[in-house]
Amino acid sequence: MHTALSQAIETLNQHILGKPHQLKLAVTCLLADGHLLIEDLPGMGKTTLSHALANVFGLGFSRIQFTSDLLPADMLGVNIYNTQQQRFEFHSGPIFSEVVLADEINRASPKTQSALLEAMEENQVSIDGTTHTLPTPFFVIATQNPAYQAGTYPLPESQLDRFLMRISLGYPDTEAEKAMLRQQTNTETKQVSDNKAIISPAQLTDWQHSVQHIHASEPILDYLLRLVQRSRDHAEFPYPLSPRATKALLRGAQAWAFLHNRDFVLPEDIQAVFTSIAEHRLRGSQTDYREDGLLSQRILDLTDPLAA
Amino acid sequence: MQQIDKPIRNQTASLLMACVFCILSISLFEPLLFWVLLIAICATVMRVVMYIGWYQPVPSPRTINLLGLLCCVCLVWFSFSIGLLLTMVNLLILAGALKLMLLDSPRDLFHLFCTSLFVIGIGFTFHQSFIMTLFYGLLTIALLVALARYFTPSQSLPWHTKRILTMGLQALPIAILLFLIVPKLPPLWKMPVAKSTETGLTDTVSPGDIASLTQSSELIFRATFEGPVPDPHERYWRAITLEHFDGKQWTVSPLRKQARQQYRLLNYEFNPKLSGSWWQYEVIAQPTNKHWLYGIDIAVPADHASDEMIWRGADYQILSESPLSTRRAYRLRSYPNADMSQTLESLDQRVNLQQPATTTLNPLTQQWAAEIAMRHPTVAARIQAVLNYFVAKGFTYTLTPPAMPDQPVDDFLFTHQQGFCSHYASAMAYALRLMDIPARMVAGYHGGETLQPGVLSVYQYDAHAWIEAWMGDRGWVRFDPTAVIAPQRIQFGIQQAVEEEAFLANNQLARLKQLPFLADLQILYSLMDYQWSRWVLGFDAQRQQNLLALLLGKVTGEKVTYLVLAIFGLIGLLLALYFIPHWRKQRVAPVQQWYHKAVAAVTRCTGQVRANRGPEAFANAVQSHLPASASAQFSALSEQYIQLQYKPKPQQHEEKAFVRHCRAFIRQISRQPAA
Repeated sequence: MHTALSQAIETLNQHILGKPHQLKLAVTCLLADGHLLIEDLPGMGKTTLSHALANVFGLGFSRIQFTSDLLPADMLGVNIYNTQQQRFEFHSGPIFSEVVLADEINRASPKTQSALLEAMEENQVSIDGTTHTLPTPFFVIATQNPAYQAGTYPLPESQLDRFLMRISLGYPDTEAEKAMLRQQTNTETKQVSDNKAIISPAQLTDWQHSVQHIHASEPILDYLLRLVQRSRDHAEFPYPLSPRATKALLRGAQAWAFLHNRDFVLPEDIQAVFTSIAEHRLRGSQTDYREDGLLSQRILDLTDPLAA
Repeated sequence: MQQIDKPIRNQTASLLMACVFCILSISLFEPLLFWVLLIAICATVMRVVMYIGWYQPVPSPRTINLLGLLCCVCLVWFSFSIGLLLTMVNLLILAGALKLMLLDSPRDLFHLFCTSLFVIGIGFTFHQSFIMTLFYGLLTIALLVALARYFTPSQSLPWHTKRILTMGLQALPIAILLFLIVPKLPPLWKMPVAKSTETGLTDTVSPGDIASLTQSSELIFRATFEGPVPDPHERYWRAITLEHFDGKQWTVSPLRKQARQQYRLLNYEFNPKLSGSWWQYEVIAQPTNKHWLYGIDIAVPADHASDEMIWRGADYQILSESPLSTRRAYRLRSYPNADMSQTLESLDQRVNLQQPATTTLNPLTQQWAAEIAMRHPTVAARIQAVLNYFVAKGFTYTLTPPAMPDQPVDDFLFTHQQGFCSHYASAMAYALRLMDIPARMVAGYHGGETLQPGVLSVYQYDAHAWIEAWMGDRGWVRFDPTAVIAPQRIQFGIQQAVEEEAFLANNQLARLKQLPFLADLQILYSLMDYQWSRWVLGFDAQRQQNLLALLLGKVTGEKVTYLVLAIFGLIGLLLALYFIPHWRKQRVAPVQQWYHKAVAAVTRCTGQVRANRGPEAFANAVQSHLPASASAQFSALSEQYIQLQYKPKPQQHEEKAFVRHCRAFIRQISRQPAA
């Protein structure tokens, strides 16, 4: 593994204890130049994770707390009339930042949600006819509460598709939680978590380019297409995977391979990222996990990576 | 795993299936009870409403059970009047409709699919025409599309249609081959004969009846002549001989029926001596649920199969052994010049001199007949006198004569002097009987439209009646008074005869025929229907034998075996043609094949199943389970495999090396005892 990258993940692991796989997925998402949706209950470390990511990669960070009365202008920025210079000046909103944490995105009205998602897709914001480019890299981490919680507007399927990955942190095990408590009482170890950037933004952009050149052989593409096709051919999958999802899967697998210091994709890479990339697209707005397990896992179980 | 999907009620599959079921029920219009059809339509409307989303909840099974119970009680009540077969058909449609109301799970959908297929099968017992076959074929395709849509809802409707059509086309040659060679066994189970509304000729003919038949353009039969075709004026297709007259109506003589029964008991079939020229033809008769068949007198069966099904009566009538519940084909040979005096003269005389029991009916006719009889001593002269009377008094031919309810013959002969073929036949036969000449009425069809050279179609409107009189040595001689009054009726058919009367005034088909384009189309359709019934519906055991004989020369068991084997070979070849390209696409490259073999060997040795794991994950998982040397070898193999499959630019010779290594590995591991 690239030393800087492994160091970064190491640091992240010190912030969020006991969740190495989720952290790796988050970094993968960043490398794949996609946006991340974290779905979890309050207090599980969603905000901490995004803070840490921004810090470790040396990116500017801003946080938007989504509420039901948040307006698009609060987020994007406004033109204000400057009486001295007799012209409008643009005051950029919190979205003009490299890492944006959209906290509790499903508490905002659909109007505001779609303003954010538009910015995510276009990498630019248009206000009063002027187009303002967003910084690169631009990485949105949105968090949402499970849909069954009160006062939420669930994201529609079309917008869920914009997020490359959806991960869920989940409760830590007792061991990790104990370590966390110890961290809180022990001021010495807290020093470690004082962050400084380990990776420069330029380096990150460079890596994002290299991810695109990770080799995906013919059998890999076939396997990927078989997975996608299965979701389309069977009635048990209500929302089949779109071509955008196919692209996202490949990019995710490439990033995962890059993270593991390989210049080619293995079936294991696809399997590792498949659930976090495909599950929210397959489920649509039914965000509650049923007892019957994950739809994406079912597709994986039904498809042999080595079949011709 | 539980299936998560759109509810069935919102899927187009269920809507499509509901529509197909509804159309199917409507196509069975006649055999269905009205209220059953209504329930089927209601169920479809419910489905449409649910699909659109106006009203979502599916009715509870309790409601449907109650409705089902009520319907069953009703059906039992009706079953006494409609017979077993129709009750069963109604029950099936009813069950299908109730299932449609309840449709909420995939299981229901499959049930409905199977029921619909069965209903299509039932449809063929009621409709066998070419167009209905096409129609049911289309419905079958629609059903299959609905099923396909259920399984892959994300694809578009045209995609499904294309796929189903392709598969249907692929299946077609196989179906044709099987149709040709599968032995035509007699059915294990016979359809109970349906009670249906009767149209066409009946056992009883009163003069007005035939006129109403001319309003119908329903096909009665088609005849295919092998060799010469009779001229238009010779085409007297006999159906029933009517020998009993009660003053108003002609019916089959009870005495004749009795005689026929006795003959049948003795198995004594009328077997006249035949002479002169003959016409040979095949008749494909439409179902009538009657016993009588059509033929030009004297008609005898032309082959063994026809002989089996035909009973020849002494009144030259030919009867089928079982009522015509479906289309039936038979071959006849007709001898128009044969001696017609070979019947039992005494019986014929007795039956055909019968007069109405009440002598008060038609007094004028009785008087008139007595006068003629006095003036003319010979039979021929008397007959001629009657015919002359028709011409001299200016009788006219019309389809819409005034009603003559009380004294039908008197009114016709002396008051109105206009009428239809059955009026003339009835009056003449009665008059001749009054003059002591045995005479009888024959009902049947006259004429026929030429469909193509040698093929005649006879429609309901060709219905006709004429008489036969016994003339001493010559036996029965045919007289057609209509030919005297309206010769064009006999020469050119009824359309010419009554053109000014707006023939078939309320008949759509006839009106359409006036447009040349539509007339062509109608002829084209008739041709197709004819070919269909001749070659497909008429393909029975006999024709199958003929075909085999044509193919094999002399039919022997050995040759048949070879032929059947050859055909199955052909079917296998076709299937191979369809599937091999698909399999070739899926064929495994040697590298993969050998890797799979190696994995299988590892599984045998360690009991670890790969279960959709990638090569690297599997190698890691089995490492600790394999013996040390084998473990290193397998790791190396996996490494190579990854190299070949997933890394850029694999080399050809590396593939060969890989295969070699795999062989070596498998050899080695199989030598070791299982862990």
